[in-house]
Amino acid sequence: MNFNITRRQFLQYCTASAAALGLSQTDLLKLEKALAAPQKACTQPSPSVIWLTAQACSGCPVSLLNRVNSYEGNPYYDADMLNALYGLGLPTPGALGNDMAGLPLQVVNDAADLLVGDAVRAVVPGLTRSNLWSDDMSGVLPGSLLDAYAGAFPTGYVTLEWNSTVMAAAGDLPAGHLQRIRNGAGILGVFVLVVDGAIPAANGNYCFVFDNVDDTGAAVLTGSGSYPSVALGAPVTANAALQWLATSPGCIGIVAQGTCASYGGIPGGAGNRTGATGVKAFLQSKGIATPVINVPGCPPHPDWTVYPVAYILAMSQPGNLQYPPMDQYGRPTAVYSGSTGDSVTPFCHDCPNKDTQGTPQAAQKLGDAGCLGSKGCKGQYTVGDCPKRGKNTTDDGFSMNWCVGASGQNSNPGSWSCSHIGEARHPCQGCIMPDFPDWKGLTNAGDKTSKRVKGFYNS
Amino acid sequence: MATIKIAPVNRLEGHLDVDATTANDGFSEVVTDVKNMVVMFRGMENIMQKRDPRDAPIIAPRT
Repeated sequence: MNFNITRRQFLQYCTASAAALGLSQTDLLKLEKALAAPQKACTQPSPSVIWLTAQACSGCPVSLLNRVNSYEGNPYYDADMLNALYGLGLPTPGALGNDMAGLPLQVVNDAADLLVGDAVRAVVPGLTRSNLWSDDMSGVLPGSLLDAYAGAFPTGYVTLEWNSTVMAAAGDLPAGHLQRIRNGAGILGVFVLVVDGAIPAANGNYCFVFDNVDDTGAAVLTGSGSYPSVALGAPVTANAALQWLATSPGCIGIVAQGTCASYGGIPGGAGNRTGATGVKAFLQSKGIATPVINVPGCPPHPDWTVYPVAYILAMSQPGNLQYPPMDQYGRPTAVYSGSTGDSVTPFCHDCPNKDTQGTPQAAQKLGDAGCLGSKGCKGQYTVGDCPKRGKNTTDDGFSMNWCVGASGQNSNPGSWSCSHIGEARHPCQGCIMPDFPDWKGLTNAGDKTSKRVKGFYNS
Repeated sequence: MATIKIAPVNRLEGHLDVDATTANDGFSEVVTDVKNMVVMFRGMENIMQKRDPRDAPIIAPRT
C-alpha cells in the first residue's frame, strides 16, 4: 500500500487551490514549497497547528475535514484497510460506480482513517506511514493505542497537534503534548493557532477545554501574567487557554476559524448571556497583540481556511513573518472583499441569477427563478466568493451546490449542477458578515450593542 | 475506591467531562457512579428569544 501521493496529484491540488485563490505563478511556487516539505518523509514533522475549540458546533473542523477527504488520490483513503480494521464492508475505490456515489463514503472512511493515522506515529517513535499501511498490522497497533495517543491528525500538509473533535486521546493524556507544542516542541518551535467557536468574554466558566494536569500529574498551565493562573487539576477555561497559547513566543499567528471565532457569530447573537465575542476582540481586551486572521463563514469553505495558513507558511521567513492582506473586518482580501469594479458586491457580481443582459430579475416568491434580493437574500452586502467557489467542492474543484444557486441553469460551468443539483435556492444568510445572525445590514455592520434584531426576512 | 476524571472527552462534537467513581466489590474495582458534565454553554434558547420565528431554522441548526 502506498502512502505517497504523486507529484502530479500534489500539483493538481496546489494548482486548484491557487487558481481558486487567485494566486500568481510565483505565489504558487512558494505555496508548493511550503506544503510539499512535510511530504518528503513521514518521519519529518509537519508544520504544527493547534486547534482550540471554544463555543463551537464542530461545523468548522468538519468542513475542513470534508475537503481534505474528498481530495482525489488522497493517500488516506484505503477501503481494504478500513474494512480489515473495522469490518465496515466498504466498497473499494475501483468498485465505486461514480464519483458522486463515492464521495460520502470517502468522507466517512477518512474520518476514521484520520484518527488512526498519526496516532501510531505519535506513539511509536520512528514509525513511518509505510510501516503503518503495510499488510501486517499486528505489530503496529498496540492494544492501548487509543489510550496512549496524544496528538495530531494528518492533513498531509500540516500536523494538527490538538483538536478535541478528532483526536483520540482524552483526559490528561494529551495535555502534556499540548504544553510541549505550546512551549516550542513543534516544527521550528512555532505553531499556528486555529480557534473555532466564540470566546465567552462575560464569564470564562461558560466553556472549559481541558483540566490543568497532564499524565504525569504536573500542571499544564504554570505561572501567570499574560494569562490567568490556574490551579493544578482545575478546569482551564477557553479564555485562559486562548491567552496561554496566544502569548506563547512560538505562536506565529491565529486563524479565527468561522464566524463565531471571528465576530461572535451565533453564540454572540443578540440576547446571548455569555458575552460571546470573537478572538480578536477578546485578545485586544486583554492587551494581547498576536496577529489574528478572521476566516468567517458558517462554516467557512475549506479553501478559505487553508489560504491564511498556507500564506503564513509560504511567505514568511525566519524573523520576518508575513500575513495576508486583510480588510477592515480582518478577513483576507484575497478570499473576501474582492474588488469587482462595479457598484454591486462581489457576491452579486458573480451571482448567476441574472438575465442574459446581466440584470437581476426579482423572484416573485421563494422557489421562483431570479434574484432573491427582495426575499431576504443578504448577497447585497456580503463579500464572499461563494457564487464562484460554491460549497462541497469535489475532487476536481467543482462545486456540488451552494446556498443560493441558480434556477434552471448551470450556476457553475463544468460542475455537477444540472436542473436539480446546485439549486438550493435559499436566500444568502450573510454568514460571513460581522452582524450575523442579527442582520443589521451594512450601515452598522459589526455593531453588536444594538438591541434591535431585524430578523432574516424583515431586513 | 478511586475517582477517575476524564476532561476533556474527545472525538465528539462538543465539550464533555466524565467523573467516574469506583469501588472494590471484593473481586475487582467496579464503577459505582458516573457523572457527565457538558462544560460548554451558549444559551441558544436565549438567543432565539424575541426573534422572528422564521429565523429559527437558520439559527437553531448551528448548535
